[in-house]
Order: sequence, then structure tokens, then C-alpha cells
Amino acid sequence: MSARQPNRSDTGGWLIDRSRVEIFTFDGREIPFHPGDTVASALLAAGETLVGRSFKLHRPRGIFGLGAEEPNALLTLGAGATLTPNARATMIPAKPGMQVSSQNRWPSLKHDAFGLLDKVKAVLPAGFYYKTFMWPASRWMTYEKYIRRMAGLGPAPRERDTEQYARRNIHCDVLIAGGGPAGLAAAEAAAAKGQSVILAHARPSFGGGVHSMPQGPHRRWFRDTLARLEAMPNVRLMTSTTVAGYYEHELLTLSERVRDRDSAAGTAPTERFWEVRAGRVIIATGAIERPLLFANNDRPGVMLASAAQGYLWRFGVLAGQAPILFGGDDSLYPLARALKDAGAIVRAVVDLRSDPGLVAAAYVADGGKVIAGAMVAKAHGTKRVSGAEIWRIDEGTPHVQETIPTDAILISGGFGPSLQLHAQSKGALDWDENLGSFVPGTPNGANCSIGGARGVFDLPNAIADGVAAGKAEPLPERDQADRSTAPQPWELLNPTGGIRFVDLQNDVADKDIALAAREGWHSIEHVKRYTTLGMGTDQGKIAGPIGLALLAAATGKEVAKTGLTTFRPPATPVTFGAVAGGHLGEVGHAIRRSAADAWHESQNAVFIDAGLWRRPQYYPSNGATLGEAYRAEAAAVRAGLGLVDVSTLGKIDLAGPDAAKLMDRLYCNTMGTLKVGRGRYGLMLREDGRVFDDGVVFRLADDRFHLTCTTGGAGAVYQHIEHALQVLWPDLKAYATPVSEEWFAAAIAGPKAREYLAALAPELDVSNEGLPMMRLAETMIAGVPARVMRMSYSGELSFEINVPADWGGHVWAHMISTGNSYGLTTYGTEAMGALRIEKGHVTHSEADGRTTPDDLGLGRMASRKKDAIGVRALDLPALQESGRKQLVGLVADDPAAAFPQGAQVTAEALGDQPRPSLGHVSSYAYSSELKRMVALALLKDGRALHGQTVHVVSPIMGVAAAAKVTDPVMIDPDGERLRG
Amino acid sequence: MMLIPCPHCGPRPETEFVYGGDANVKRPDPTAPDAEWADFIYFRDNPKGAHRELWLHAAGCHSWLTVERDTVTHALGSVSYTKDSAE
Repeated sequence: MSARQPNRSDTGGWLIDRSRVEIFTFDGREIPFHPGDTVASALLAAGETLVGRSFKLHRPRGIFGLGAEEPNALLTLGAGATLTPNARATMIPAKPGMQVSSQNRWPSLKHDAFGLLDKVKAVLPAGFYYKTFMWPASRWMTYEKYIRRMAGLGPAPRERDTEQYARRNIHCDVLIAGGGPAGLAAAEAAAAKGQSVILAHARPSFGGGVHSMPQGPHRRWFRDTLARLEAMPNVRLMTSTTVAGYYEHELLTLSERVRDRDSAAGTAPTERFWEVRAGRVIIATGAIERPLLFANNDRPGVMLASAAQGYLWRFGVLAGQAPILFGGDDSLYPLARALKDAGAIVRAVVDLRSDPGLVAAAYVADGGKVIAGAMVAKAHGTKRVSGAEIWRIDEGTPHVQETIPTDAILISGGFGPSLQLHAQSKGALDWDENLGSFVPGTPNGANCSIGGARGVFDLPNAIADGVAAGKAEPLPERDQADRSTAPQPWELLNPTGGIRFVDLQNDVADKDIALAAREGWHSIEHVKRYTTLGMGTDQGKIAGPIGLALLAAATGKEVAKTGLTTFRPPATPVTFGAVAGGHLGEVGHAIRRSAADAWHESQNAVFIDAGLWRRPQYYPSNGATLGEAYRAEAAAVRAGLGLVDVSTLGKIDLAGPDAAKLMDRLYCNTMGTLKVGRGRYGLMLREDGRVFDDGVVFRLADDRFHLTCTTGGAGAVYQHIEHALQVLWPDLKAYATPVSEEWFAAAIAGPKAREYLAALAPELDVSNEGLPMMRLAETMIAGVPARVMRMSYSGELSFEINVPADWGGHVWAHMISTGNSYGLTTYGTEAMGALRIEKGHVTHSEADGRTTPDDLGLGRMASRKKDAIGVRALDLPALQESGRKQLVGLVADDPAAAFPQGAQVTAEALGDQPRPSLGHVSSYAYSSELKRMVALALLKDGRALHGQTVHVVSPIMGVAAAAKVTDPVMIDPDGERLRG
Repeated sequence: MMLIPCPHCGPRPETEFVYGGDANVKRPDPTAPDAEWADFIYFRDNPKGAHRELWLHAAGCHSWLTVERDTVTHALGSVSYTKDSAE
């Protein structure tokens, strides 16, 4: 013991190196520790009892547990770019120089302004936020920011994380979760059979419960077993590795902490995230002690007895100098003796049983104090326990026995298996009446739970479990524990009427659960969400079982029938960085680039994502801003000549003797009659009659078609065609091949397009007779074989040129240099959009999954003379009804008016009153031709509104503009330009 | 994440596949009445337990597969090419 570590004892300390003392800081204060300490054990040793403020009420909280179940001691590590909030002090190894801060307090941990909230707990009952802050709805925005400031965890990092993370995938025969005695035994037995084994353990060193015990033969067994495992080539030992998720077919995710943040980087990442596909899984994650309920059971100094035992033997740390032990079984007495031997003054053992039996009697005979048939009813003290109010409950009416001064109340409500992984794998849960706990039932998948994780809590039997599981043999029969005569934790009386917390992390008290039950919430899933029980980062590891039993009592149901909430991964929190791994920033996802991408980049094009592709949105050389550039680009196309890279459009080659037959079934319009060398615009429908995708189709040969589809739809269209070929009509002889990346494609458009094409392709007859609309010709451009297709998206005279993708950059460069003398302007997707909006061409903004061909004004395309996907549905009554939204054009009245994003359309201008919506704007742009904003909109019975004035409004943006309803084709309705 | 044994590619993770719905649904004849078509388009059974369903090996061989799956346990039964199971 030293002045700086007043709670460090000479007893125990199996995991620490007492020869060295290092320092980290906690809220700026220096905390000495020994290598091997956790942040929690070091804080306890230093006498730092108060470590945080609670989530909602800002009550002072101390360290409550030993491991991942810890609800209170959530701390912030580091600062700036390496800041990590909400780290569990119990799981973080103490390291020299580490910067640790408390959370959810202001201005300081000891003097917290929001601590006043605790005084008004009466006005913060379950469901308070739902009841109080939801009306008027508009005020939620106001309340929310204050509530967020008051209630919460640690701060999110403000800076970009500078650490490195990695992801790994691996297979093994056996994955063992948990490296305590059962897991170690299982690993050795499985490895001895020659199986490849991964043994994952959340702590930096293996052993688990072995280290929470005094000296004995088990320590030697542990050292020898570990040494043998280390020598086995087929065993991968992973420490500081948490098994976080158990998914279908034995896929598990592991989060490995490789090194400390801020520490010397080298080449190692901070964390590795593993996906393990295992042949079978052995769950050896141990058990968690249950708390006992009494008034102010959340005060710093109240701790699980098993945690106090762990701190003593693992780290040589006393949870208190003068503790009281409180529980209902014999496990209290060895701990009381050990604490006494280690230098603590054990004030009393408060035993719920009126006749505690021989072990207690022996303890009394050795001079210990036992208060039997009694309970701790209330803790005194605020920032630290100062006393325990003891009530007798075994004789007549409960009454106060005495109040004993103490600095720690160590509680034990019995143990329950850690069920997370078993439950995540969707294994059944059985209620064990004797344990008063759920235990793993029939597993789902190739797994078994062993040791504490199935309710086997003693060392020899846990090891026997491990040996059997490792050999893949049936597990030994589990001893049925005698039911303790002590009441279960949720059966305890509350004679003082003080607040008793069930969920320490989320400040849920027993009366919140009772209130929820009174208000009609009887499903545990509803109570969880209404009260926030078990919704913290600890996943209710401690609170869940108690809360469940309280709900069962409040609703008069059996616990077994009330059931647990669904367990979802991760079992313990995993950092976002670990999940993301190296998939960050530029390498976050693959980018598809057109063959001309380098040229676009050389022109400083601004890119936009289109599916996985990136496309030039506009070229800043044509205008400083997006608005200026696209208007200039679109105007140049209409006035002269434009060039756009359209490589991203989906392309599918369809070939085979039945290709024409298949085409007729894929498209709602007739395709089988198309002549070789000609093209046609086509619509594909979903089976429910909605437009699925569109594009121009060319027939290359009797048995071969070239399909184009939208950039974003290309993948789905290909799957759709394969579905037709393999599922619907496997008798059809045809093959589909996606060829989008095979071709580089560029469209030239504008009055000068023919002249320009003649220069590009001198061998080609470019006259209106030689190459009419919807005709395909093959020629050479820049020495490369090319397909030239006459078609128009912009509404101008236009040709699309396809060349093999590898030659795309070469051909594009040739087109640019040739274009100089024709005043060529390159344009991006924004100008392309403006041009097609003026012409009423639809994209997925209009074909949005709700619209039929008729809604889009394309009803006549759907042929009823043949069977095609989606055509039959068009005759269903619902699609014939009036009131459907139909595609129209909108032209702004005022040339200066702006159309807002996400606009609705109303018949009358917005006033104080809400107006019914006629429909919505699907696309809008500035028309360089009409010199004002134009839009495509879907309006109820819109075609009947042509000529009327409507209002394009966005109440949120405070914008409204009058506009005239028109046909969707707003310029050159007869298509004279494109046929010229 | 399930491991689906593709008859062409071998066992592959679920993320390589696209779900295609109930494999027992048959597309009616175009002359069938509205009710039959509405049933085909809009209504699906949601069985607890055994289910025959379609999966496309989209990031693999592009085969549409008929897979027997238990919707509760995710245990898989037979996996075959849909093309071969057509009547």
C-alpha cells in the first residue's frame, strides 16, 4: 500500500507486475499503475471512486463490474484525431501516458450542473420524452438540442481518425469464444484431434476466472495448458479479441485490438476486424453476476461481489477498505475471508437466508459478523457509499436493524450465463428455475455453449465441459443447482421506497418498468424501447434479466413466458474504424472510369457519381459555376455542336435463335419486327406494370440485338433478362452478355453534327438518306472500327459513336481536335439533363417505380398483341382508374423565377392555409431555349391540366413560382431538328 | 451470413447472391383472370419454416438457383439450377 495507491493490497495481483509503476492521467490527475492493470483497477487502487455521471439523471457513478458488462465506467480516451469515447474502463489496459477523461459532466465530474436533474427524477418517468416533447411537433427541434446536451455519452471525435484499421477473412475448423478454463480446455482437446483452432479472448491475457482465484493447482494447470497451446501449429491464439457477432452458418466477427491508439504506429493497424467462417463454434464466454436491488444501489462503492473478487486476485486491489457483502449464497464467505486477509475490515456479511448454514457458521466462529435473514435496504452517501441501512426480513414485518458505516457494498444475486452469442445464433433459451436464469437450450447451427456460458460455474466441471466440447463429444450432464432459499433479486422488498436502479447505464428504475406495465406495455420488446431498458452500450448484460423478471411480476406472467429481447450483434461495442477497415475515402468503393476519364480530369471536369461510375457533371471552362456552365453547354448544343461521353450507359448483347422472341417478351412494345440495322426506343416493365427501364435497341443480325439501358439500371436489367431466360422461359434459346465496359460511347449533337461526323468518318455516307433516324452504320473513325447510331436524346440532330473501349481515349482525343474548327463544346450530365427535360424524355426520376407507360404518356407503346412482362397488369382495374399522376411539362411564367428542389405543385399560391398537392416536380432545369425554368412533373390527371397555371412550391425553402402546364415535349414538338 | 453451395462455383457467401423470391410462384397465362394475376403480382406466402426460393449468383456464375431454406434456422436443403427444375 502506498499513499498514491491506497487500495492496493499485497494479496493477489496475478496479472500485474508490481516491480514497475507507470502513470496515466484521469481528468488531468496522475494515476499510478502497474503494468497489467486495467484503467478500472488503477482508478480503484488510486481511490478514484467517482468515475462518471449517469446518462439521463447525471447521478454520480463508480466502477460496478469487472469486464464487458460494466455499465458505469465509460470513459473517453485520447483527444483530437485519436479520441475514443465510451471506452469501458474495465476492458482497457492501462498504458503509460494515456489520457483518460470522464464523460457526461459539466463543468466537472465532482460539480456537475445537470446533477440537479436527479432532484426532479419524479418528473422524468419512463416514456417522458415521448409524452412531453412530442407536441407540438414543431417544437421538438427546439427541445432536442437541449436534451441531447444533457443526456448522453462521450463526445464524438471532431477530427478525422488518423489511425489505421484492417479487415481479415479466415476459415477454421473450430472457433472458441472465450479463453477462460473451459475455452482453454476445449482448444487443447480440439487441436489434439488435428483440427485448426482459433481461440479468441477479449482480455490481453488468457485465463479468465482462473485469475480471480487464490493460489492453487489450477494456476499450474493454466500455465501448462497455455504453454502446450502456444506450441501447437494448428492453434491461433488471439488475445484482446472480442467475438462481437454470430451470423448464419457460423460466420463470426471478431474485433482485435492490436495496439494502443497514439502508440508508435509501425506497420501494425490499431484494430483488426476479422470475419471467421468456422466449421463449428464453442461458446465459452462465462457468466455474469446479477445485482441486487435496494435504494440508491447505484452509488459509487456498490459493486458486484465477483468484480471485487476479481480486482483483489487479478490486480491486488481492494474495492473498499471497510466493505459489506450482501447476497444469498455461500460464495460470499470465501470472499469475505480473502478481503479480510488482504487488509480490509469486513463490516458484515448480510445474508438474505434466515438460516445460512455451515459455511456462514464457520465464518462466525472465526470472528466474522453475519446478519442473516436481512437485506441492505438502502445505501447512504452520494459521491461514495457511506453506510448501509440493514433491514430484517425474516421475522414479522420488515424493520430496520441497524445502519452500518461502510465504503463498499459488494452484492451477489447469483450468476447467469452470458447468452449473447448463443442467442445471436438463434439458439433456443430455456428457463432454469433453480438458477433463476435463462440458459442455452437447443442450439441453432454447429455450436455449443460450455462452462459458465451454459450455467456450469465450478472450475472442474467447466474444464470437463471444455474437454468434451473440444473432442466434439456430448457434454456431461449439468448438475442441477439447489435452489437457494434466498429471494431472487427481483423479489426483494423496497421498504424505504427509495429509487432502485435496474439499468444503471440508462437510468431505468424498477418503478419505470412497473409504470410501463401499468400503461399497457406488456411485451418486453416494447418495454425496452419505452423505458430504454437494456439499450445502452452494455446491451443490458446486467439489467436485462432483472428487468424482464420485474415485468413478468408486474404483468402477472411467468418469467419463462415473458421471454428475452432479441440479441443483436455486436455483443460488445465495436469501433466504426474497425468495421470500415481500409475502405475509406478514395478506396471506400471501386470507381468505374470511362476511357476518356483522363481527358475529363485534365479539363478539371467536376465529376458526379452515376452508379459506380463517375461522369463529368460540367466543365468549369464553360462557366464558373454549375449553373453558368450547364446553361452555356446546353445552349452550345442547340446553337452549334456538343460532345458528351455516354460510355456509362448500360449495354447488353442478346443473341440466339430465339433472341427476337425474347425481345418481344422483355419489352412492352414490339421488337421482333425490327429490321437488321435499325433501332427502336423500348420500354421494359416490371410484372406489376410499372416502367422498369428504357433505352434504344438496335438489331445487329437476325439473331442478335444490341440493347442499351440506363447507367443505374444496367445491373438490374441484366439480372431481369437472366430471370426471363432461366426462370420464366428456359426453353428459349438465347444468351445475354453484359458489354457495357466493352464499348466507349460518345454522342455528338447539334445543327453542325452531320458536318462534323463527315469529317470524323470520311468513308461514311452521312446524308439523311444514307443514315436516317434510328439507323446503325459501321465505319472507321481515327483508324478504329466504329458503330455510328443515329438517335437523339437532346432533341438535336445527333449521332452516337461506339468504339472498342480500349481505343476510347484515342478516338475521344481525335474527336476533340477535329471539333476545334466546328466550335465543339463538351458537355456534362447537367446540360444533358437540361436538354432532355426540354424534350420531355424520362429518366428514373420519372420512371420512379410507381409510373406506368400511360402515366408517362407512353401508353400506346404497350402492345396487347403479344405476351410481354408487365403488359397484362396494365389491364388491372387499379391502373385504369382516374386520378393517377401523369407526366406534364411546366414552364415558369416569370423568366426570373427559380424552381426549388423537391417542389410540390399546387393549384393556388401558398397563403396561410395549407393547399392540397396536385403532384410533384420530378426534374427541373433552366431552359436556354425558353430562357426560363422548365420542369417535368407528375400531376394528378395532369394531361387534363394543359394550359392551366399552377404553382411550384416548397414551403420548407419558402419558394413558390407560377408556371404553365404543357405537354412534356416543350420545344420542337414535331422533332424537325432531329430529323433534319 | 449464409454460405450458399452454388452448384457451379461451390460454397459462396450470401453477399454474392441476389434474392429472387418464392420459387413456387408460377407466372399465369396472359388470358388468366385479373384475380389470378393480382395474386401472382402482389401476394406471397410468408411461411415459418421450409421455403423454396430463388437466388441469383450475381457476383459469380449468374445462375438462377432454386434453394430450399428454413426461414427460422436458415438451414439450407437442396440447391439446384432453376433452369433444370422447370416443368
